Amino acid sequence: MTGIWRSLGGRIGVLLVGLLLLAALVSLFWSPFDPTFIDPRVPWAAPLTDGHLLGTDGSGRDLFSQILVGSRITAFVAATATVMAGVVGVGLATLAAVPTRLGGPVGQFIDVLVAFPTILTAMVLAAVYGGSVWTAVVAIGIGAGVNVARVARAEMSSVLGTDYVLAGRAAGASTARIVRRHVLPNVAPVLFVQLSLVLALAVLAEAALSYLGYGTPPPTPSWGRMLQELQQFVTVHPLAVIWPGLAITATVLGFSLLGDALREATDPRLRIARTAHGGEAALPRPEVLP
Amino acid sequence: MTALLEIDELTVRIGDRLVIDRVSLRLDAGDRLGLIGASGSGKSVTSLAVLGLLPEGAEVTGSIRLGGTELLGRSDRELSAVRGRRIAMVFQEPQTALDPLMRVGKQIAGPLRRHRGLSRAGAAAAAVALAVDVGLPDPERLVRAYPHQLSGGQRQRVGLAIALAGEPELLIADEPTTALDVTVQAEILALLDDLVTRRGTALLFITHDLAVVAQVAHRIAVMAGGRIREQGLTEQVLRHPADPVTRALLAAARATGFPALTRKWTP
Repeated sequence: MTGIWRSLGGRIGVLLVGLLLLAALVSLFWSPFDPTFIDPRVPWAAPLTDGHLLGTDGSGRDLFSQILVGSRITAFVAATATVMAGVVGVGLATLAAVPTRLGGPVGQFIDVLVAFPTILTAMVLAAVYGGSVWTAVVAIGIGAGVNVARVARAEMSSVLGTDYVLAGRAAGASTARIVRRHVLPNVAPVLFVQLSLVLALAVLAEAALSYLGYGTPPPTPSWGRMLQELQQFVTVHPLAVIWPGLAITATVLGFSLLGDALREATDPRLRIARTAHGGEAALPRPEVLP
Repeated sequence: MTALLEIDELTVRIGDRLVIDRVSLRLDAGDRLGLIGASGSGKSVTSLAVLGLLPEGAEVTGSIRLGGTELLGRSDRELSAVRGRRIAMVFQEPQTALDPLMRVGKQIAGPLRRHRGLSRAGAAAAAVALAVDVGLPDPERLVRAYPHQLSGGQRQRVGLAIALAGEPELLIADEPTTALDVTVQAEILALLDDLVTRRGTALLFITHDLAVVAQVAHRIAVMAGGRIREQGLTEQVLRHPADPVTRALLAAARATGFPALTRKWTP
């Protein structure tokens, strides 16, 4: 944790993600207005009028309350989809990388699914089960999961080919132990980066799916659907549509920065370099190189 | 008396390449055999074949018997009960043969728990004891270190500790000193010599360096092109090399200037 805080990007990431979590938490107990309450007296209210911090939409619903409550969906989908992507990714990658009869087919299965668009998965799921938060979670989890698997499989294969895995086997360690104790810890830094990317991607994908109507159904506020509803009026009321866009952008940026900082903090090779040379990571500086 | 390890007409093909061609070797309990050859002569493949760790797609025929039981064709699960417990291995590169992300004490404790059924705490204590045995300085502290915090010689001592943790009957040392500098080489060789003598462990020592093998092996076998070219007592082979390959290796050892070897073995 101190490692993440050490870099500026990490700090901004922590703050932005913290803001999202805080918003989601606060919205459980309090929001200035009921986000679904339609007030026909104040359509398109400007920011900071009548207590509407960010103004209102065409039906007079408070935008700040909608953003606040919408953060719940974003945080929930990002977290659950990433956990699912992690489970799917690590599971498939392990099956594909460990040399068994299953390895080949699972590898091909990953390659096929990588080519399958997440939006399409979501549409298929929505067609069968109807659009819901879970449609988005499952679609993003599978879509991102196979991409994680593709990267993790390559990493695992290279770890499985190392001398220390051979040495572990020569010392009698079972395949399960080798995967658990040697392979997973050694691919973890790469997995962290991948999964932090998934966090950012899940926020975007959830917004996109809600925008298209395959995600969160109305009236539950979601940033993607806000964007879609407000976008029609962008030429008349450009200010209103900025807020959900800004919220999505800030959250994606936050997760990306946090992921980068996490990678630097967890990779012991970078950690050593830092402590050995007093504070700064001893990586070659690009401008020093010829 | 049945031999501890008996390799009979071992042949290994990888793809359409014949890597090992009808190799036969025999090791008795407590025996020390040096397997010598240039790079690519098949000595490492022979050792991996004994442990059943050849890459996928390697075609193995012949026979490898440990204490009279056949090892070839046994399942991976059955073999993992042999690996580390009855036959253990020390690798050439201590730098890469240790998991960079695991504390060395944990790495020594792994085979201790697996093969000697020790508890977590018992294995941790036994790991420290092993660290003392292999002469690691400040063992209490070093078992909590990561491999990169150790010197090359210390890492190889850890490699030895891991190999000896299962109290094997046979230790395969695959060029264990090649990656080390000369002074450390001598220390590790002396340690290896001492450890296998005290424990009565048989030793299969693989190297390309005649000077090294002369110090540790009772008998040597010279390998080239996947075949055993010459085999016999160390002194006899080095004094009266019958095969041109042995002569070439001997000449190379002299040319690189090992005065001790030259004085001792020049006829």
